[in-house]
Amino acid sequence: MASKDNPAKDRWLAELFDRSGRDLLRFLASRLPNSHDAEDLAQEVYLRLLRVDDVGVIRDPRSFALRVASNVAHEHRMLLRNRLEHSPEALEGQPAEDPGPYDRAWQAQEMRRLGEVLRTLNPTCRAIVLMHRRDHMTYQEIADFFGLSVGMVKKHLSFGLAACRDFLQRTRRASRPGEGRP
Amino acid sequence: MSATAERELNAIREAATEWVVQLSSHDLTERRRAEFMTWLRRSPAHVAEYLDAEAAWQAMTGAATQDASAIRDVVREAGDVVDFPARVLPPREPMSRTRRMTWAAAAVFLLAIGVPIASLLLRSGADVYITHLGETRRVNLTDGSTVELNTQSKVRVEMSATAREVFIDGGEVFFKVAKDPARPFRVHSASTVVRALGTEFNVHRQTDRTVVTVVEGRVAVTAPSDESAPLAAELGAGQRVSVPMTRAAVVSMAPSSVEAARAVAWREQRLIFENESVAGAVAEFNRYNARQLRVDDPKLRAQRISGVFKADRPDALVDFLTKTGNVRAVEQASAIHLSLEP
Repeated sequence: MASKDNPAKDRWLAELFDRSGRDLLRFLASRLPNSHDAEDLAQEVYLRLLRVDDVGVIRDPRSFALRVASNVAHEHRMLLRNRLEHSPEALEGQPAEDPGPYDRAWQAQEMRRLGEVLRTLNPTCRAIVLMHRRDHMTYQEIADFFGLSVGMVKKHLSFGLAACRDFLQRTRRASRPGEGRP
Repeated sequence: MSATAERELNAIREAATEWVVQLSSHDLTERRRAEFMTWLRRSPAHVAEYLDAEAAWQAMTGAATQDASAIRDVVREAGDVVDFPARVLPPREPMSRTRRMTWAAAAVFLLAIGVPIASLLLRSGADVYITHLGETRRVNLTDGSTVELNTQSKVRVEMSATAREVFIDGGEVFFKVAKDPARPFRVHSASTVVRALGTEFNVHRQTDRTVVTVVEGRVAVTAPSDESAPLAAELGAGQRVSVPMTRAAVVSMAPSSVEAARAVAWREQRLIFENESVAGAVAEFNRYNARQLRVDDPKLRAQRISGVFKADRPDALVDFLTKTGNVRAVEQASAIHLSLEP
């Protein structure tokens, strides 16, 4: 947890958020396209974002948007917990408090397969993903390294991200809770 | 879903992907930030696709972190052989005063509408820099200080309004600290802390100790010990102190005099040995080169040598030893084995 003396780090969501952030992480990790929960979350976040009068004033819109999503996810979980006390049937199909060994194994496998997706990218694209996400180089530094424009670096990164995203949508669509996991 | 609807969704999906990449820029303009919020608020579908893209970004980060491939090897697949020269990186833009004041005003506004502001505070200079085997790197910090990383090093830099902190997770780093009396410059290596005002010094975090060498100016070094109070020492130019990693071993902090220039010769990719054991020289070369040297014979390991070498030329050391002594070199796939002629 970042202390008050140290400003928030640009490490991933885990350090940026408190407990409610972990809810969002879990939610995003188990995110199922076309599921009710996902739609509800997006709807509620959308409504809350509309409440902001002047968007120009928000210093870090990404943190802000994710914070709102995280709060909604947290409240959703709290709401479910109350509801579940009265209806044991609804207990099925909800992500557990902590991922059990089965979930962890599944996540590990997903991570491995995503690594394979990275390896199918063209070498420059893959190198840029590693340099930015693993080695923490800035776009300008990566651009200087390859002799590319920053715009091209971003294009490569977008391409890599799209590939990862397509893979996740395909594999997660194939595995919803209640239907068994691969 | 109709064809039009599907096209629209794909357009939103693509835009969301691009936005996530955009938002990771270091130099995002205020206008772009406002543009993002405007785009995001267009419909729940925009929000849904954005969150999906962020989830993929997170997963991609996880997969990237587990990929241990060297960039050199990855790029070589494309047919280009890439070198890692020490490079001077463009300085980060320091935040101007007016921008800082706008954010302060924004923070107050957002407090009024009940939004937690912890995550909205000034973006830190919390950056991570890493060098791989044989790589050196120089980074200019926002305060005008320079940080030079030697081979296989990793630092985290955190600059705030009240302090300048650098954490060495491993390796060797040379600092040229700009004077800023309002903000102390502190370097952390395990639990050793080096404090400087305006000075040039080298910090080498090894597995069992941290060695601090001052080239110019003065630094204060503190480390916790098993005594009640932490031990401290003040070092001037040409002085060095070696602080063990384990608390129990921190019993004294008497600085010794050294040839500071020798300690930082690595900055010019040079290694200077003066009556150094062959074992020590070989170990030093191995820090910088994928092609490693091996010496098993204890008699050879104990021999002394002196000389100046380029860090990326272990073959020069091999030549030196085979020509001036009765040393034999056997080249193998991954290493060069040195032994005494029988």
